[in-house]
Amino acid sequence: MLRRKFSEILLLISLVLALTAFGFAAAAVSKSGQNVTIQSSTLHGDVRAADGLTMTVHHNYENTLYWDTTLSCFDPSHVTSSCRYVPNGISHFGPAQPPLSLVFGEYPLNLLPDGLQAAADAQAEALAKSAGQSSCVYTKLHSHEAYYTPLVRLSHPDCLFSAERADSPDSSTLLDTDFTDYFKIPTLPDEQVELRFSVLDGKPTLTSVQTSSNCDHYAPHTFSAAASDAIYFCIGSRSQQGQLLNFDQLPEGYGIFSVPLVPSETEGQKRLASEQLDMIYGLNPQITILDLQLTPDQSQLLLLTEESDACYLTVLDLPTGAPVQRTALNPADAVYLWPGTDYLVLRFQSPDRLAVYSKAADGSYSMDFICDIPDDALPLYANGTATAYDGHRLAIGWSGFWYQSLSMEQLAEWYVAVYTADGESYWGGYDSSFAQECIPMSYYQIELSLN
Amino acid sequence: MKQHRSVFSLMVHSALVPVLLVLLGMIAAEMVAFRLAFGQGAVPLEVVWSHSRISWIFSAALVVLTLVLCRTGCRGSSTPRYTLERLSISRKACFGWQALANGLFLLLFWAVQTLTAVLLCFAFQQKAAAPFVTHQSVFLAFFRSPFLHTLLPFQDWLVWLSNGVTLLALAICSARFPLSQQNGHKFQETYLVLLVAVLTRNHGIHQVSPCVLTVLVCSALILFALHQVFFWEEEPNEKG
Repeated sequence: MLRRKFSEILLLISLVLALTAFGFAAAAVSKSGQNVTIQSSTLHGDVRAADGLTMTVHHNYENTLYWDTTLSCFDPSHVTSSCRYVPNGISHFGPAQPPLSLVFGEYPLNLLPDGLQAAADAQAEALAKSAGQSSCVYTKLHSHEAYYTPLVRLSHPDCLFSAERADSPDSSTLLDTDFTDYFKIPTLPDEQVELRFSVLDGKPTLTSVQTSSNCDHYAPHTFSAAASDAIYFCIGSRSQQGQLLNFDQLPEGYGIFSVPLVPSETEGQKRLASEQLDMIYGLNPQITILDLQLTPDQSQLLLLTEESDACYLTVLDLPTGAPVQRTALNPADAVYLWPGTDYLVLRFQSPDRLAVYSKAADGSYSMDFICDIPDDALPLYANGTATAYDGHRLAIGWSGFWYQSLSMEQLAEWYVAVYTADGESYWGGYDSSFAQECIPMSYYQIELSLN
Repeated sequence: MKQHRSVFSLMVHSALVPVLLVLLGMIAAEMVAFRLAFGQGAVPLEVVWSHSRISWIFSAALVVLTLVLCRTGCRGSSTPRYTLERLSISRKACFGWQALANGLFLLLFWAVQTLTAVLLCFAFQQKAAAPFVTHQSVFLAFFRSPFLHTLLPFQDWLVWLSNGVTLLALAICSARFPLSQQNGHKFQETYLVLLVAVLTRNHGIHQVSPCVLTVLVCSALILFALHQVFFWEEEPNEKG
């Protein structure tokens, strides 16, 4: 009897000890994962130039674990970090994609325009009669389609298409008839389409349709910016070989377009109200669009264009699209811009330079300073770059995501540079404790603030 | 009440030593397997776990432990069976006490396995080569290694639910084992629960289907076992 009691007590003691130790162990493991540590290296200049500069970076692992880490760029040992668990969270990898793109020259097989479908059917029939093998047939797009049929591709976390829609080949792409009807752009006479057939079950079957890259074709870049209630966008006006497209049949001509985002039937999601597609600011198709950005407070749209005589910065008031400022830039070789809360940064090339413009009370911008980027600096990219400006110092932060060709010793997770009117004062590389892990974390955003 | 306590004590006493031996054997085997997979420590922690095949040792230990628990109260293990038959307590009550004892043993098994895993991870963190380890390696390993994530899923409540229902199913079904054996039933749901527990034990993150499958199958088997005990199988005196 005593031995049985002893067994009972032994089990209960073991259980209490094991569960207590289990609790402590789980807490210790959990705590170890919360704290992100940062290592920095000064690549150029004096780190004291980064005094007061704070960087916030976000990591995620498998769209499940999300870390927010804030550090002082001057003294990276001052780090605060927190970790959140979000099952099936939002996917982020690399710098953000444009919120909306019009895709020309891609033809999902289930959404082929009627003319191309008829051409493909006729070709399949001809191949069947000749008992042909797998083949690739080129045909002039203009012979079958008078106008382009652009697909709408969205990269907006709150706006997904239903994968069940017949007109949506995936959750981010849509063949929207409102867009197709609005963007009536005549096809280029020489553009060719490649129809690929494979023999399946003894019958020639269409396997892919796409624009041939061997001839001149229209595949413009879309510049887009998403506000909370609308997406603003414009598209390039020239073909790959510089031929000007005809935009006369667009309802209001060529320019900057807006499409409202309205609440969707799915809670927390928004719908692209393509039936309210509109043009907010007209442009001459002869110009070249370099960049289109929205200010952080979403009150202005900033347009950078290259025209016959110079580069122009155009500031538009939102949501009206009324022009606030249109100014020719000097120097005239701007390539892109980064808007801030009350400033904007312009990047010039040949030679590489950065200019900071301060915003006046009337919403217009005037240049504070322009400085050279050192020749040995890593190239800056438009996408995924963060800026901060305190009236004297301009801080720029960007990800090492772009520099996959660099060796591991040279590659940092992020870089931060500080510029003044005298040029570059500091350039440093920063690595988080995640960078030492063999499977790198997904990075998706950097924020900077200067105090 | 004293008789009920006696039944519980008897269940615990008859299974304690074999269970402790299983636990010690599992810990020893896992330490050896981890040491062999560790090598020079030039691989990430989750790779060491994957190479060590500790999940196989865990599965084997779970099978042996469950069989040990099933044996308690069977005719083969004569002392507890004889004592139980002398106590004037219903079979249903015996089943309840055995299910409780089995549940506690299984909980101990899970806690010991998780503790062993955490300690092996911290040992790796101390010994591994610098490029492969940071202070976050252990935490991340519990999300990167499906086996570790199943043991300690942190805020992944579906895996906690799946683990809990599996342990409950094993406790209840192993407690019914002696009863169904006495009644001559050929179908032993314990084997099915074990099969599910072994086959679907490695829930990586985002693995909803295995968790849901485990919860559904184990819940169904729990209901089956309880139905058999309380509404189907007869007490010896009812048999007349």
